[in-house]
Amino acid sequence: MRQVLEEYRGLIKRRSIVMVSLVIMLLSLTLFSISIGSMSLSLDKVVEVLTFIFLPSSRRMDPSLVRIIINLRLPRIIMAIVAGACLGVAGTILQVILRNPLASPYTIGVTSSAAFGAALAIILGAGVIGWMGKNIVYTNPYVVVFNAFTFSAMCSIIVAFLSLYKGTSPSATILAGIAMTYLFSAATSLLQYFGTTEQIAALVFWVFGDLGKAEWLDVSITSCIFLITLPLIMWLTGDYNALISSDEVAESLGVNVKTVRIISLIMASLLTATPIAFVGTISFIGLLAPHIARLIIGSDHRYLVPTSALIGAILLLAADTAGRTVLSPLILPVGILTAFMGVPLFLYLLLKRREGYL
Amino acid sequence: MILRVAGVCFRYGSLPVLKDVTFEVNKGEVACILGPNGSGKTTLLRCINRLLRPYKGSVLVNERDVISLKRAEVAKIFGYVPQIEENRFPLTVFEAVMLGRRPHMGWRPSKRDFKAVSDILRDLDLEGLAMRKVSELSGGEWRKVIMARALAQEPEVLLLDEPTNHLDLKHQVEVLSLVRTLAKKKGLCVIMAMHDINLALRFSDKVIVISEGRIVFSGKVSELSPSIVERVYGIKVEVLHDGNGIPIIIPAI
Repeated sequence: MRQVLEEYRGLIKRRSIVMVSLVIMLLSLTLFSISIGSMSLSLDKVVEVLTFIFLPSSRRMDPSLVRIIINLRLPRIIMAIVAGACLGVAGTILQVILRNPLASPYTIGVTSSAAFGAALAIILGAGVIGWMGKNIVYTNPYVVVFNAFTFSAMCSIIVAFLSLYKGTSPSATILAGIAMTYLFSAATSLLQYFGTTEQIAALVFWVFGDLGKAEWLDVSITSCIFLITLPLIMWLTGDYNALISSDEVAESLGVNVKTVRIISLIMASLLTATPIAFVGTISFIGLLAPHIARLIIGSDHRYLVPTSALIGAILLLAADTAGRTVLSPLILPVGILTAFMGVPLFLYLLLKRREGYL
Repeated sequence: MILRVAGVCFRYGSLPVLKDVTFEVNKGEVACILGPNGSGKTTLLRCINRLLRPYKGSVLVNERDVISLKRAEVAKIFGYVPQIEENRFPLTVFEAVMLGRRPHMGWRPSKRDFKAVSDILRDLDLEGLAMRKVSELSGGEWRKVIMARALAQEPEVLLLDEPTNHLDLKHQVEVLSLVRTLAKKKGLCVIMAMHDINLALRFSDKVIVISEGRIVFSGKVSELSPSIVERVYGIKVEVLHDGNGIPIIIPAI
């Protein structure tokens, strides 16, 4: 008996070490990411400027340098971290409540409905656009953001009701999500058919998922959503563990399955809709992060949820940093880079279907 | 401690599945539910555990009606082992058994939870497997882990749906002996739905035979007559006796 508890303690210790290493990885990646760009800085310089920003002192600092970091690099980088964490957590809870390793924010239609909301604003003129060289400028980008958010929220409410009607079974929820995905993609195509070339171009740019759009207000709102939902999700982690096997088992262990599923569905929608409304579609982080996390930390959701958040943040920041460097000075939208991430994941699952994931 | 199922009626939509089911099981007793496929055995277990809500009747544990209790309260009374259980996202055996502490524990397992789990792992001889992933276990080991989880709930009643399904002879005997020992030692009330009549009779104190949602026999193992089995399963049977008063029922060919 002693020995079993010792072994379990060892496991917990190993998990803590993994999580601490991930935090260190994320921090170093952040510093590295701040240092690169059209004006490349040494890491020392980055640390110096950051200390200057956060701990104001009498020392003098080049104001243009501070401005570049505060206004251009930091919002983008923090948005990458927060959005990645949001998507990682959303994917994890969707996979467990739908008991499907291939579930992601796509599965419940959140992304396609956000795109529809944006299309409505861009093409039907709720947001007026201009065409300036290569940059699409919205006179009021928040109209698009608001539209995208409203429609993803609407979509997840419809999915939640449809699934509730059928007793919230995983398959009912997935089918409802797929139906909504098709509905909104079809509606977006319809709008595109009537749009002008410029409008369609603007929509395509929006859909690409570009962290460069992020401003401090966007970053703050997304961070708030993350910080509000995370404690509730952590509170439910014990129920998620019970839900791994089946609804029946979870109920026999005292879990109120319907309530947990509906709350989680709403949390996951918020966590996805918010970053997507601000920066556009970012695919596969919500699918990939939980898988990597599960591989390195196991399936106990008390550890899995924070680990998925960390991995989501690292993946998205790494992808964006790569997007800023590979074709520099051209910056690739991060959504395009993450889209490629799905390929190795599915090939991996195809080749190593051992753990009973599928 | 006594479990009393009184006049339970249940239907799926308009299809009646259980009709006025009434029986009692005492503390420390193992009762098996026999009956052909589709006779309502699993439905009955689910109604007792309140996974399904009967539209009439009551389930009483120590004279307390279970139907009106909260889910978490019900989970402290009944440990449930379903017929088939998949595992998509593998936990370790230790964590899987810890799930049974769910109704008792807060967010973090307490000392008592750790002790309960490690005691059960020792009792069921699963200590060596504690850190293995459940996806790497054999069918027999996995069954034992699920059983361990149900025991970690510290239930008063253990409900087993086909506990010997997919197990070889050795594991069948092992699992059922364990159930019997636990019932006697911990004073549990055990109800198990079974297909293998002879295996069931060998390890039970009480037999409940159910056919088309109705109880057709409820009593001691030695009192089960072949005519009931013939009527319920619709085949001719012969009865041998093993000398300990336990009938052995074989189909007459």
